[in-house]
Amino acid sequence: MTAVPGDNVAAWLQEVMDKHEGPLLRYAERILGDADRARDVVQETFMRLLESDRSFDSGHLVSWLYTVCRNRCLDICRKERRMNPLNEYTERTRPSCEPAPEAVVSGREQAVRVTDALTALPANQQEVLRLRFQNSLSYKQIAGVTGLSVTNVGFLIHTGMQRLRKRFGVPRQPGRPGERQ
Amino acid sequence: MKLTRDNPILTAYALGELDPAEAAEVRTAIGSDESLLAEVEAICAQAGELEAQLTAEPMGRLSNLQRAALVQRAEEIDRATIGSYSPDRQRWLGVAAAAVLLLLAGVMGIWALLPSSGPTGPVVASVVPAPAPTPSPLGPTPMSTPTQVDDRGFFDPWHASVGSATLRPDGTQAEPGQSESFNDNPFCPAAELPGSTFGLNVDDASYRHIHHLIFEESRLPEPSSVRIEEMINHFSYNYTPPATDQTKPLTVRTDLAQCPWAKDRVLLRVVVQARPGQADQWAAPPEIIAKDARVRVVFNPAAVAKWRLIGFDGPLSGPDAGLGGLIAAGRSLTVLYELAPADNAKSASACTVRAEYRLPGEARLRKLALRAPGGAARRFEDASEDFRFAATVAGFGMILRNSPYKGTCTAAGMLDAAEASLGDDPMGRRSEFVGVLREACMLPLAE
Repeated sequence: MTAVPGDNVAAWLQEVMDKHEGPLLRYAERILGDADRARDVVQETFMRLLESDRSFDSGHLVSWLYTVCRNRCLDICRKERRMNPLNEYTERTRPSCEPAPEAVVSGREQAVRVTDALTALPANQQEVLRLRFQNSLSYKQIAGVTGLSVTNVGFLIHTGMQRLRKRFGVPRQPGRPGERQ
Repeated sequence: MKLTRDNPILTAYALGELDPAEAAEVRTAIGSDESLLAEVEAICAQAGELEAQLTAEPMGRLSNLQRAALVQRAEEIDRATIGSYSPDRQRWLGVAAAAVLLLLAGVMGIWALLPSSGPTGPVVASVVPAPAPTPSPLGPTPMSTPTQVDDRGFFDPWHASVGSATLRPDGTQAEPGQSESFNDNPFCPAAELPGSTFGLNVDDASYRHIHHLIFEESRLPEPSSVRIEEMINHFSYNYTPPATDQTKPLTVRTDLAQCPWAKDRVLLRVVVQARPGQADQWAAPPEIIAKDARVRVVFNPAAVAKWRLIGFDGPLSGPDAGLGGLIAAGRSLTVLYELAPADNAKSASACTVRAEYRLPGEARLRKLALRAPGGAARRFEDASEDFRFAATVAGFGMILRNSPYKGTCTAAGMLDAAEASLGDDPMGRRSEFVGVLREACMLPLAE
């Protein structure tokens, strides 16, 4: 993506929105539990982006967007006296009974059960797992957004994944490790 | 490096989070250890599974109005930066402007076919757009400046209201267990009930609910669900930011204008601001600058015969009754009162506004007070766009609540008044409100 908007801010904004509008809305709604509010927060985030100096490289831009969006969500939650909104969200979405471990589940059932299992994790593990696997943020970017150290982010992701694996076992198709460029 | 299966660095390696040197070191440490190799493969497989399932979750979209506001702002920046823009864009904008005009003409045509709202017609509809401030014969009423006072002699009536009893917004108490009522706050005689208290933790959930119902479901909200203070404070206003002072996070301002829906009445606007946040506040966690914050307005019977708090209807009950809110930097609260001036009122102060709060991490209660000037209120038409817009939102709220105090308010009148007070609307929220009013005009309003 173009790092600096140059002389066409409108085109640059369109490019940024095409890529980040949906994921940011999903992220904000996850914290707020309200689609309308999430839309307001994301619009405000993009408006703040326009008012910034817009001199981001693409990695910094992603961190900036999620940081501003997250802070605004938490600000709203604080105004409503929900002092620990992520934990409250966890409570609100926690399944009534945890799924029992089974070796073979697949397709839609597997997706639903993984999502349910995710909501049973502590709020901070949920958030970093979603930022990593749903929004493709790196450990470093997640640390910037959440204010945690990179080491702490790594620990939370590792612990969260281990908990999920204890419940569901290992998927059949392995991937391949890579290197952060 | 000695690795075990439960080492987080193995997960970081599998996810590609290590730089090349670190990755090489881990690769060497793994060597041909079958259990570690299997662990890395398992992590990779799980990562792929999580990514596939989580990215498949649905995503929303901004509304067309929200997108349009953003695009408009970006194009303004482009125009300001370049100074001129391409012929292609000019042609496109011309077509877009023509389309908007045609759409507006169509909507206006539909309105013209609708039956009149009443024999007297909407009073607020007579409000004319004021592109430039016009000096009132009485002269503009400037927003008064805050005055810090010390703790001595500060009237502190609200603490007595905390507990199991129910605290009404007007400062009176209901009996414990009394059922909640959504009746509008009544006019209170200033001589007998001079004081009114409100907390500063106002949300805007009610406006969002109203917006959703009218736009998405083409129906009006239940009157009891309409909270006017949440409607007014959904919008941002162009208030001059107060000076940055860590020890004085709050400022209070007031001003007056004639009431657009009731002759011989006056609107009092109370604005509570917090000092502004840091320059990069949007990329930093919200900065809480005050807590336990609340405001009490004490009216002067020599200047005000009766007063009514607009919004904050219904008693505040439960364990939070009487407690103040958390205030984040850069936020403001706008509150309106409807006043009936006293007979032969002189230019005595209309009221005293007292704010109480604590700084974060501090037990001491800090207080400030402002004596609001009285005198003749300026004409509504001469009030600022912010003032007029807030009053218009309040008027629409009273219509939705079918309030006995809505006076001459009509939806059509509110629409005209809103369009005449859009002002600087960077987020497009005021324009969106105009859209809500237009939709509401098509629905059977109780008026």
